[in-house]
Parts: sequence; C-alpha cells; structure tokens
Amino acid sequence: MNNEFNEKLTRCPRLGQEVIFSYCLQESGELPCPRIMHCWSHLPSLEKLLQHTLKPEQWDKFINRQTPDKISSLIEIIEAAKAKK
Amino acid sequence: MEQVKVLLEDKEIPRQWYNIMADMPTPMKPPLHPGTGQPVTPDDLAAIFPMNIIEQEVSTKRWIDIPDEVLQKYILWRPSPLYRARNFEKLLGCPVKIYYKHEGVSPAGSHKPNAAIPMAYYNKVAGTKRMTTETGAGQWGSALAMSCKMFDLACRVYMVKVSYQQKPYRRLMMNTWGAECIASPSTMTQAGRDFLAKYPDSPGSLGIAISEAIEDAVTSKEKSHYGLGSVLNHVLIYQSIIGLESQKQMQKLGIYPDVVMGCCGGGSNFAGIAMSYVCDKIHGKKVKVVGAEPSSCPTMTKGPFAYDFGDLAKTTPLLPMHTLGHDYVPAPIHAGGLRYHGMAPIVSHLVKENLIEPRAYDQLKTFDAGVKWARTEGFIPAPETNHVLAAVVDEAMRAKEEGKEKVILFNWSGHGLVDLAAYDAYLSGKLEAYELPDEEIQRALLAIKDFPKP
Repeated sequence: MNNEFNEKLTRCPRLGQEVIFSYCLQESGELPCPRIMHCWSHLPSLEKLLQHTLKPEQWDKFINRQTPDKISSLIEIIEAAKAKK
Repeated sequence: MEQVKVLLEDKEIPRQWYNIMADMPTPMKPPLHPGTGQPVTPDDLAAIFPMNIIEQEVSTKRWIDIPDEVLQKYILWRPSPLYRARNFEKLLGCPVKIYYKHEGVSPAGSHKPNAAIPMAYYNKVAGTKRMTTETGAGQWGSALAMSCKMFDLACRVYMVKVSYQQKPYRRLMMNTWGAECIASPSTMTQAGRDFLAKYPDSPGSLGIAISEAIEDAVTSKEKSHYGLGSVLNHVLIYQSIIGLESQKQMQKLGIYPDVVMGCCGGGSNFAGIAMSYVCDKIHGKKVKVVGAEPSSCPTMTKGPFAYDFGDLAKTTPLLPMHTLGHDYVPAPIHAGGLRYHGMAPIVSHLVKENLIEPRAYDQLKTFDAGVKWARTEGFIPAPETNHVLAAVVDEAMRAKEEGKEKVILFNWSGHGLVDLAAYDAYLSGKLEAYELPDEEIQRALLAIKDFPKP
C-alpha cells in the first residue's frame, strides 16, 4: 500500500494522538479506518487513491461496510466472546 | 481586582446527576440486537456490565442520587472551578464574556474520572473483582485505572499498540495507579491471537482493543466487568455534574449563558456541560448549545461571513454565518456508507431535534486556537479541548460581526501536558493543512451571491 501520502500526519480523534496516513489505511486489518474519508478528505482524489490502493473486493467491502451503533457493536463482540468461553 | 474564578465549597457539590432521557421531546429509537432484530434487553448487556449500571443505562428517571462514596472521591477535585477567560477575551477583542469549567484539575487531568469513579464504585457494590477496558492515547484508561484503585478493584487496560509505543506517559500513569496496561493486539485473548496470526505487524486499533477487553471480561474466572468511557447513556449521566455545577456558579454571578459549548468526540465531555442547559432549552429558556467536532472540512476557514441557509434543504431562515454556500457538501458526506457512527445516540438525537448545533473545525484551526489560549490564559489545553476553543473563537467573531454582546460558557475538558507531541507536530508544521481549490470556493459561493450581506 505504498503511496506518496503514507507518511503524512494527522490527529486521530478516535485514538487521541497523531497518526500517519498509512495507519489509517490499514487500521482495520485489511481495510482502512471507517473515518478515513472524514479525516483525510483534504487529500486530493482520496476516493480514487483508495480505489487504486485496495483490491476490488476490499474496496467493495469498504464502501459497503455499515458501522453499527455502539450498543449493537458491543453485543456483537459479547456474543463472539461468549463463544470463546 | 477583577474576579476570575467562581468556586463552590465542597458542601455545595450537586447531590444528584441529571438524566436528559426524562426530558427528551421525542422518544429515541431503542438499539436493536444485531442477531434477533429485537430491542436490546438488560440481559443482553449483563455479561459486561453489572445490573446497577444497566439500570441507569435504560433509566428515564430525571434525577439520580450520587452515592456518598462517589461524592467522597469527587471532592478530591470537585466542584471544579469556573473561570472567566479575561485574557483570551482581550486578545479576541469581541463583545463576549467567556466562562469555562476547568476539568483539567482532576488527578488524571481531564473530565474522564467523572464517569470512571461511579463506574468503579457501582462495580464494587455489585461484587466485581476486576475491570477491563480499552484505550487509545490513554485518557480513559488512566481515569479508570485511578478509579479502580480507589475502590480496590484490579484493572487491565488494552491500549492500542501504536499508542502504547508512542504515549508512554499515560501508560506509566496507569501503571502508577496499579493497573496492568497491555499493548493490543495481544496474546492475552483469542481475539488478539487471531488478529496477530493474520496481521503480525499490526499497530492495533480501537476495534480490536475493545474486542480484547470484552473477551477478557466475559471469559475471566474472576468476576470481571468491562467499562466504556463514552457514548453510552450512563456515562453521559455521570458527566452531567459538570453542567450542574456550572449552573450554580453562573447563578452566583447572576448571569445565564447565551451559548454553551463543548467538544464532541463520543459525546461525554460535551454532554457533561450541555445537558442541563438542553433541559432548560426544552423548557423554554433561550440558549444556544453547540457541539464542536473535528473535520477536515474547510468551511470556517475559507468561507466568508454571509447570509445563507443553515441546511442543504433550505428549511432554515437566512442566517449570518461563515459559509461556502448551503449546497457545499464535503467529500465524506457524499460517501454515506462510510460515515463513522461514533457519537452518543442521545447527542445525535438532540441534533436531529435541533436542540444542539454541531459545528466542525479542521485541525489547524483548533491548534491555532489552543496555542492562542495557552499564550493568554496559561493552561495548555488537550488537543480535543482545542476544538471547542476554535468554536469559542468563531462564536466571538460572530458576536463582533453581528454587533451583539454574548456570554459564552464552555467545557475546558482537559490539559495537554501529556500531549505535547501533538503541539510539536503543529508547531513544526507537520500537521496537514486543508487546501480547497479557489475554483471550488467560487463555485460554492455562487449559491449565495444574491443573498443580502450581513
């Protein structure tokens, strides 16, 4: 995932610290952070860059990803954790 | 001598928290269980929260008594002082009086212990032996670490690895308060091991840290629960003490704010100052409540002050504002499915009800305001606090342009003494500036060219 912006710095409102673009690009493992379009919208052609950087199936996954509300996501994690008990 | 601080005595600390759920003008949609599609029940959350906290999460009671044991911890730094920012006022040269609640006086340096203390207390009462949580740069983790120690609970914090490596001081604060701080992803949980197997060099994320903290609480042999520092209703209730204190302090001065402001991340710090004023607003008081959030949208820095509609649908009257035209939509909004839903549902609901006005500020503008603040008032703000400072500057300028006198109250949510690397990045020019092409600005402003000028 090399690109000219990888070392650029911004403040991450989720972590509460500065991060570089390449962190946001892989924040969720193979997918970018859900906030990347919000935090880095000032980069020229961000959408095109992501499309170019991600594999087609990753891009589809990324743009179709729905971020659930907090309670729903907590419950999903609880159920997953119970299964590991 | 001009008065700068308004202090309350220990005995004047509020004895109840306020719950906005009692005054919601319209009901909120209940959260749905992702598996069943049915409304979430208390039992669904019982694996991670004790029932006394779940009861508060779903409560619609207006006032909730603050237990004496919690008050005894609160008074280590509460009631927090209300300050008037006279030096900042002078710098701005606008017709405003600026008051702020100084939440940086807590032992952890932010508003976070307001929620962490009762959370640890209610867990203790419920028989919990240890708590787990996740943290990014460590504000919440350090607040919970301190609070658990105060109530003799063990505490394990999963800290996102990139923060663990880059923010040693909050990690050391957690350790000093006796908590275990683990870099996430870790080998302590199945979720962490699975993630590491797939992405061995991962710098971690809040998502995986939450999974680890919850799995740890759910699978622990010792009675363990999880604590979340933002977003949820009970957290917002605990933070209400900020606004309630400020109301007593403003009353001592015989004034009432025209504008109440806070910065909005997950909503806890904003709700802390705002909810008791939103209650007043619901019951007819004239007050504007503003939430400042981060954005790379340039409206405030690039747009002129002009009359424009406040919304894309043109349903508001023409309002004087900094604008790039009501039809200017920043790129991330186009990508509806990519929006991040990290805000407290209560805050989002009140925005929809037009009881709260959200405003977004880009990072350079926020740091600019933070540095101006530090150079006038002395206290170095946390970078998150800088968002509300940008909003205060903006509101003061509006007052000047409108020729109106205003009283502004805001929540100074924490100090930035453990965040100086952020100031280093700003002062050395490493943070990114938004550069909106001139043609884009001109295109957007065509939409307001025929409107009157303020």
